[in-house]
Amino acid sequence: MKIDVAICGNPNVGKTSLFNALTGSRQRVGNWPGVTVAKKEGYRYWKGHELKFVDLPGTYTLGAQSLDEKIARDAIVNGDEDIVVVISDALSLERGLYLLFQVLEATSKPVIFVINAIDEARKAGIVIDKTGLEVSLNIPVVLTSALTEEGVDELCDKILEVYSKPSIDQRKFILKYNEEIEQAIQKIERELEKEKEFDSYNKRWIAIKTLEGDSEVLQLITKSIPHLEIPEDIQIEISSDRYQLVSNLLKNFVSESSYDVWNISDAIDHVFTHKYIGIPIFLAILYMMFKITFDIAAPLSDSVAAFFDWLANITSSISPRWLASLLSDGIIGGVGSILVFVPNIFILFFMMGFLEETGYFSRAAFVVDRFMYYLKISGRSFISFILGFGCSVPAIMSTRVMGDPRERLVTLLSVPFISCSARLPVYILIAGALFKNPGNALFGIYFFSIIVTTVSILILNKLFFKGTPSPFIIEMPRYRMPVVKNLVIYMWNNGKHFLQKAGTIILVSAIVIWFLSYFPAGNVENSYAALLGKLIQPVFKVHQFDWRITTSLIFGISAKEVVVSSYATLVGSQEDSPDLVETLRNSLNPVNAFALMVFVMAYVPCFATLATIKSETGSLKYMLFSIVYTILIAYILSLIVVVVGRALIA
Amino acid sequence: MLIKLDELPEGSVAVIEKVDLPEDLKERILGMGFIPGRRIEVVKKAPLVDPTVYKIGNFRVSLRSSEASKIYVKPVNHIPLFLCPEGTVCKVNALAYGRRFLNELARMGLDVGKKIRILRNNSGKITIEVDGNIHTVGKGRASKIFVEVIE
Ligand SMILES: Nc1nc2c(ncn2[C@@H]2O[C@H](COP(=O)(O)OP(=O)(O)OP(=O)(O)O)[C@@H](O)[C@H]2O)c(=O)[nH]1
Ligand SMILES: [Mg+2]
Repeated sequence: MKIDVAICGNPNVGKTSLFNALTGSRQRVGNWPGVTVAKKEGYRYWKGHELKFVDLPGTYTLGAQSLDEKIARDAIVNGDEDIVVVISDALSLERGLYLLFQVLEATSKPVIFVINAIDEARKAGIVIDKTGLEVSLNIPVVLTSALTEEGVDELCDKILEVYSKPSIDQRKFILKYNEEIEQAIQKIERELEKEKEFDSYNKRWIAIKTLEGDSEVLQLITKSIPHLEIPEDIQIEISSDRYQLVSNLLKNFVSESSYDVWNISDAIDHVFTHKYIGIPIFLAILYMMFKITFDIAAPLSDSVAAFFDWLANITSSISPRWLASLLSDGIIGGVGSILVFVPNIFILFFMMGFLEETGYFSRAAFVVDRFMYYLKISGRSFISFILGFGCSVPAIMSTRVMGDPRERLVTLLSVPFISCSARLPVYILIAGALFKNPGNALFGIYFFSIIVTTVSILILNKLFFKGTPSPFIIEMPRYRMPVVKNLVIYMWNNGKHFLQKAGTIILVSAIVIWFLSYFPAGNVENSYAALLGKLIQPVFKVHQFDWRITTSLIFGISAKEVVVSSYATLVGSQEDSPDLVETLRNSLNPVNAFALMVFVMAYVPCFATLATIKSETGSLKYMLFSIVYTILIAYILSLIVVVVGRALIA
Repeated sequence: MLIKLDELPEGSVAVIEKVDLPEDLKERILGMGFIPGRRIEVVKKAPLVDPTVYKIGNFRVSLRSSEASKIYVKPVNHIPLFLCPEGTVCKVNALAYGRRFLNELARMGLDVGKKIRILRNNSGKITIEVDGNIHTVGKGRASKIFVEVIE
């Protein structure tokens, strides 16, 4: 039999971690609220049944405001799953129970209450009377830990048990409010009963949501019931009643912790959000991240490079000659030039994973929020920007948590200016070839990319959106020591896209480039590739980019790494097969080299990012806008760099 | 006496009295536990003063002052100086941020831990005695000095 189970709960309580433990998936987890922004499905076979789990975005209440919360709420209220599992954090049961009551009101499906992170609760000496809670709530309660996988099997058993029980036995707990509220609820229920269209609705829930002032529900019912009186302050009374019950339950069934679990977190926060050193620490963390990416990876990259040189040497003696050239110049030269950067990219993701898992993300957002306020966005957007250092696609997706559509659009159109990991190969190649201190050039370009992003936010705000800054409400999770296994999964999950790209888009473009550079004449100088590059070269007259660079830039539109692989192929297919770095050194000087880095940083987001912009905004318009906008900015900025740079040197 | 949540300095404890936010935001804030009658603690101000981390139950959440200023509270562990009646002696517990403000207080010899005697408190001005010197402060300043009444 197939049983569908929805997993919901407050943000950051371990829903996805538990989902992964249940289904063996490897969905993204992180110690900050708002990691999951879309429905994710997974399966587990248990005692002859197929259990389908649906992991949902986190939500504090059912009064959904942002897209991710709406996804969660729709699944809870209207979804066609058979069972709803509400997950709560053992150390913040208060909020968990509050949501549980809302879910119990909203759905007629069987509900199971899961108390997760029980490992941490035990360490803190918290004792939870599971049976007591079960009896009071009249639903099954399971204690789990996604870390140790405790309780995971029990949860599966409970799902089967609940599913096989006849529905009459599933009398759930329904919260009774005080007299005044109950009367108001019944009054609305009676009104609803008069209207046919509400027949299939859960009237009590609609009534409660109406009293809570839920804008969507109000919109739904005011059409049929135009004059509704909502007593003042009843919203607060409803919440108070819920909390009253929550605290009674906690008093009866959950013991106080034997020590303050927040002691360590508070001590760490004292430093990381400090009045004076908080911001410098944040900058230092960023600096270290990129410094390490460059330094630790260097020897590893060298050995990868040596391996491909060796391989290309072997293939270059194959006959016929064109095949040798395709293999060694086109494929190995092109794809190999990218794989050299695998160590950098994996190390970068390892460190990003570390930041995510510790809980620093929320703090970073908190520390810089004031700057964001001046930009009329919030610390929330800032998290999207940090994610953008890894990859623009998840960064754009993460904007779903923003309640304000204006903030969301400004953020997602500016995210592409943040230097993603795919741009790293370009930077490292150029910086390594032309700057005495490549690490500083690298940090320079990252810093520049932050500035450009800021300017972009200002421009977009001016261009399209006038408005007031949106609110910024973010939970501070307790700090956690990252588990190495999770970090490795994180690193692999993100880094593997890079490998996949190497095998697909980069491979294909390397072959295409090779063909274009081999035909029609058999030598590069007169090839189609050269023709193409020379065609647009006049645009970069001031920049003084040679045609190899301009051709590479055209192909780099598909994915930024392709700039490097194309260039490598074009250089490799020259008669004398010169050294890549040497050629770069001869054709660029530090000034226009930096201009090239700036251009690559800003110009057209890759195909994947463009597709995400289109799907997240639901409109082709913004995608096209993004293309034109980024090219324009890239061109102007690189021009400025060249002109100013030359003036400074002269 | 109610004051706005964002006016409390770090380390303050207060009881929530009123939440005056727009409906949607209110529902969210209430769901996070900001319910009248509950205890709230000011944990940490950001480096540029805004936003602030508040603690409610076991939950820590950061709010901007644009939202926190719509939440009204009754201070518990200390009250702003302007609420002290004439004749009382109190101890300075906390001071709100503001470089100029702090410098000014330093010139008066006012700092955390100092004892103050309230000589007069009416018509929006407060006359106090610190270390035998007499000063007058306006209501605005007096609302940024948080004291504990000791006699
Ligand atoms: N010690 C411990 N940590 C856990 C447990 N479950 C989750 N975590 C950690 O809690 C953090 C949040 O986990 P997620 O699975 O991303 O939480 P989520 O509920 O899916 O979060 P959102 O998608 O943001 O709503 C991660 O850092 C996990 O490693 C647990 O049972 N024990
Ligand atoms: Mg999740």
